[in-house]
Amino acid sequence: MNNKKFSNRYNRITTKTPAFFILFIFVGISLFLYLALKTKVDVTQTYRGNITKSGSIYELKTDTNITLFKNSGFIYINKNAKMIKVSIKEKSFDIYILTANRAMDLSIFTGQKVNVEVPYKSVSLLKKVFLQGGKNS
Amino acid sequence: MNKQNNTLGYFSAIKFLGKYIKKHKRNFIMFYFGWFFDTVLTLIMPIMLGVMIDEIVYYKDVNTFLHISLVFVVMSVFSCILYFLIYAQHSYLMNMYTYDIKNDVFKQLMSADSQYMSDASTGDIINNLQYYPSECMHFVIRDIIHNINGILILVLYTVYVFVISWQIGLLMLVIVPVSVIISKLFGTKIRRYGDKQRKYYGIYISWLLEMLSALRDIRLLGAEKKTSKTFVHNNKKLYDINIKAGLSNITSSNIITGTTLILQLSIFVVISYFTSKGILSIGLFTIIMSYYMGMTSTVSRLSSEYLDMKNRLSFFQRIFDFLHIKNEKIWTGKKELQVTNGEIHIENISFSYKNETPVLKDFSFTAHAGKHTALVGKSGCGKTTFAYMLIGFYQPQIGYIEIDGQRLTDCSLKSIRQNIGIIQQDVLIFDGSIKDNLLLGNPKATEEMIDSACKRAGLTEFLAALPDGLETILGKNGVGLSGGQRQRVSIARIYIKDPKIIIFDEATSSLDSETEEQIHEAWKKVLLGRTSIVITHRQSSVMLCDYAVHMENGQVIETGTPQELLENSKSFRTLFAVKENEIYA
Repeated sequence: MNNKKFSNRYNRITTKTPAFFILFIFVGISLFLYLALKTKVDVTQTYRGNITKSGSIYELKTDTNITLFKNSGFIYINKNAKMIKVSIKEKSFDIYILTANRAMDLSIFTGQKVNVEVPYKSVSLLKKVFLQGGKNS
Repeated sequence: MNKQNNTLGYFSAIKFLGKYIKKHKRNFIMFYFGWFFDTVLTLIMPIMLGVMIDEIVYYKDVNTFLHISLVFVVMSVFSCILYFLIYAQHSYLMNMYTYDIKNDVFKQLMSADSQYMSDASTGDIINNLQYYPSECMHFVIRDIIHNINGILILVLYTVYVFVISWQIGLLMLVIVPVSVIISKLFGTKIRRYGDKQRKYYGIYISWLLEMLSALRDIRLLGAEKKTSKTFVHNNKKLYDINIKAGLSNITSSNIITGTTLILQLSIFVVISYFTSKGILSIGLFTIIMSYYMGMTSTVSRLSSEYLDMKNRLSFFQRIFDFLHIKNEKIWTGKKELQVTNGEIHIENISFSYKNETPVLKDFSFTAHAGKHTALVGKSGCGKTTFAYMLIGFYQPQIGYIEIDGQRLTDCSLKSIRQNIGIIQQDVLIFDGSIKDNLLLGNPKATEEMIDSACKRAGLTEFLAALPDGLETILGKNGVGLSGGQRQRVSIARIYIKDPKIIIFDEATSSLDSETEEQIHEAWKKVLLGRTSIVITHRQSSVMLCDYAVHMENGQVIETGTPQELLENSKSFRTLFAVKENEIYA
């Protein structure tokens, strides 16, 4: 008898009454919105520039001024080949001082035209997913 | 048969099915929204995965990676539970929706035009009741709901691919129309074969059912060889049609798959080139690949659903046609038939099936109140057609029938059938107790009425011999009845129903003389005070009657008492093969 009662209630909750279904969808959407709004992801801007070595310091000269958000960025020629994380400090209008964890890593880019990817703001995961389609900038 | 000759298109099919959707609209809305959220999840999950890949591969940002992973896991769990709820709805709708259609088909079957029922194949009717309603549900779920979501996700995939890379987006835009055009081209061909396949399958099933019910007769007649030959022929024909339909289906699907594969390769080349040049990150590559796979599978599903939809349209056509055939609802008579004396007057009636040669032509006679009239004549002269006309299965095209001065066409079918009982050669006995079988014509009959009816019909002795008496189960899983016992059950039903007019239609044709004599004794009792029309080929049955009407080619050729006709009419004597010296014996 109890089994029958349970099965009737189960049947009613899952199929006949919409309350559970609506509540579930509501909770699911709310949870997703909360988590996706709370999770922040950096958005980056890519600049073109040249790396030169002056003494033991690596300097980056860019075509345009970089908006620094976190004083760090990424240097690469082909993003999928090699990309290293660097600290960036502004020296003058378009010249920046670069520091890498291992100075050797920067030596391979010396004298070459490079891409510098710099975070310029943080956006919510929701915005990055829905508005940017996962793109970085 | 009054068929609607309009071929159902998609929109008219949706309109037709819409009235069944309305009954469960809350469940359909929940079901649709379930799938809609699933569609949204299908869209955002690859993007989240792509962002996670980029965060860990390029930026080595474990913290952000874990945060997004948490959202990903939560959404995956949400998706799993959502699937469960969607399928719970699916199961509910599948049962309830088909239940409603089956109910309507069955109601129509119960009131369908007699002419249609005599022409329709049993296989088709079974398919209309059992198979096609499920296909209607598949049409609503797969071809409407899934296709709406399929088109929606296709649009969203395309938009997002454009957001990521317009060049790849453009290339992908080419794939969709090409696949759709190819699907359309082959769809019509498949539907044509599908129609043919189903039509022949219906004919084949009808034949098979007839054969199965007549298995004993086939053996008795030694017709096994001929029947086997027909079986092989029918199967071969069905096999040929199935092969053609199957081949056409496979060829179409393969052409669609082949074309998509070629387009797929071109997409892979472009994506690989963009990634190798560093234009696309690995995360974006993953998103595009995942979307591309999603697009191809959606297009392929839409294509196959399109082909199935074409097939399903022919199923609806059959259900739609069946639900729109002429039925007894067109019977305009509303008056309650009041039978006081039971005089039946037939005035110049003419009737023909499907505008062919008239079965009844200028047919007139009067069956006097409380008297028994035998209707005799060669097979096919229109006797049974007239009997069916009397109980409202058919309407005379010319002339009229009056019972106690009331036009039959002015009276309601319910009251006509309440006042007229019919006993036929084949007595309907269904699987159930004897009592259930007796109550068929009057479910409200009391125990006393049943006992009295059994006594008067001569069933008491038979019932006493059974361990469970009236509760004994009849039919395939119970006790079998002889021809005589069936006739007695039929007579007992008449007592329980208590109609003022009774028609006997070849009721004793299959009985031996001894049983017939016993049944005649039961008849005499049941006929007391009732008007009866006895359709028979048996002289013994005719001799029980007060009058005889001799029919030929749908017309009355002579009337009189049976004795008079026997003495004066040669053709009447010929009918019963009576020798001259037997008349006065």
